[in-house]
Amino acid sequence: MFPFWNDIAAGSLDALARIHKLAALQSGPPAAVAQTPSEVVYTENKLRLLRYRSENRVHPSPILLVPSIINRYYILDLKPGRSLAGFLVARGYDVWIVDWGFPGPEDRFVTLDEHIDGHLRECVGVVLDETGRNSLTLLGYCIGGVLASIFSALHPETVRNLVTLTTPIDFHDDGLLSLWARREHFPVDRLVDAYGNMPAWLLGASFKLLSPTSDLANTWTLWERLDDPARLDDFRALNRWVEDNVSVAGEAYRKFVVDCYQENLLVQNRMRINGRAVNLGDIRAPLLNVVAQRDHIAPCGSAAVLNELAGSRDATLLSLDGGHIGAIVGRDAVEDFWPRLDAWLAERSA
Amino acid sequence: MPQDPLQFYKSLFDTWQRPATEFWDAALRSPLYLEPLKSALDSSLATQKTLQDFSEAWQHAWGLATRRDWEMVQHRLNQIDTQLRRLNRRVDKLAG
Repeated sequence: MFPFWNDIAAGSLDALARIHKLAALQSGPPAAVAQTPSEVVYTENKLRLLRYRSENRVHPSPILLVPSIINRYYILDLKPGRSLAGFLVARGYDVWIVDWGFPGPEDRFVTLDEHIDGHLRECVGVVLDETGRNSLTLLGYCIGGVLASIFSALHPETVRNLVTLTTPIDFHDDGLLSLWARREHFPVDRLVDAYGNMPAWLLGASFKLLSPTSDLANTWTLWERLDDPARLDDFRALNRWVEDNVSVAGEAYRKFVVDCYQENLLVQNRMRINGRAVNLGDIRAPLLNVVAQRDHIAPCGSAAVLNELAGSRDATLLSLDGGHIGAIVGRDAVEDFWPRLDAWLAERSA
Repeated sequence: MPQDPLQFYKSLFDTWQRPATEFWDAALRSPLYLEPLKSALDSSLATQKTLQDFSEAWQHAWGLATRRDWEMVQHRLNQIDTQLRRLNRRVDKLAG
């Protein structure tokens, strides 16, 4: 009898202590993110181009990281030890990143064409001018990978290597996002006409609905990690990024949804940017296409198809265990994927 | 009663999560969910657009700039600023 009540009492005291810790976390400062030292080299409108200088540069060819336009850039520089940018800098690469910024109401008129053929093209130009090189490595994550792929097809002469991380290419897959975004289910024109930009809160709510039990699961994870400061900090940093949604420029969002999700033009080489057809076969650079086996945002098949469509003679498909985020910046990624990425890049960055 | 009640609840949660996820996935694909959602979204956006159009027409009738007008002006200014930055960069490059 006594041991039972002792367990209950000890469990209750432990629970109270944890609740106290949780409350302290809630009222405390947010997790620190984007800690790798960087400098702003160029800005236009809300965009910033950041450079992470390497003290021991080994590889002369620069790498431009292209994050998604629907999330914050710092997923690729999450926190010390979990920063892909920091890892690449430590391995001797000259790393740059595009911070797309947070669109204001006036940016509803900014188009996808401007993102790719304007902002991204200018960033590539700045990197090449500053480094004195004539080509660079483009590394795109999620929709950033879509932008990088399109750019590589339109301007192959400036792209030395293309790395795509969990990047959807065939948008008519069996994922929920693909189903919801179809013309018969999603009135994108009405939404953009009414709101201007695609609101961050609506994007966030949609992604949460993709996995309705994840908030509960996250609560458990948080509860379990309260006694492990390092893993707790990892969780809080990642959760900060997940909750830190970004609005998307209205016209860019409209074109992305219509051309990609509804008409699936990219995979048919029928998408047009500034009047030019995007033919993925024009991608000539060595390609590393990284897909995640449990990705519910860019399902494996949707992403893997790029290897068949790109014109690259040197094309590698790397399939990782994990989901859309975990496979790229999770604990296993740090130990397994990042060193493999480094090995692939090192061979091609002389 | 297990030694650690929290672990017991965790194992219950893990057991519940997989079927719950499968259930939600099926439910969120179902026409029973998608069709009413589309209708609700359509009517809500149509109402919002109608109100916006009415408000804009009223403001224009009084010779006032609408929010959309201000946004367009700001957008044009941003475009000019961007072009100037790009030109400036090219000039710097040419100047060495």
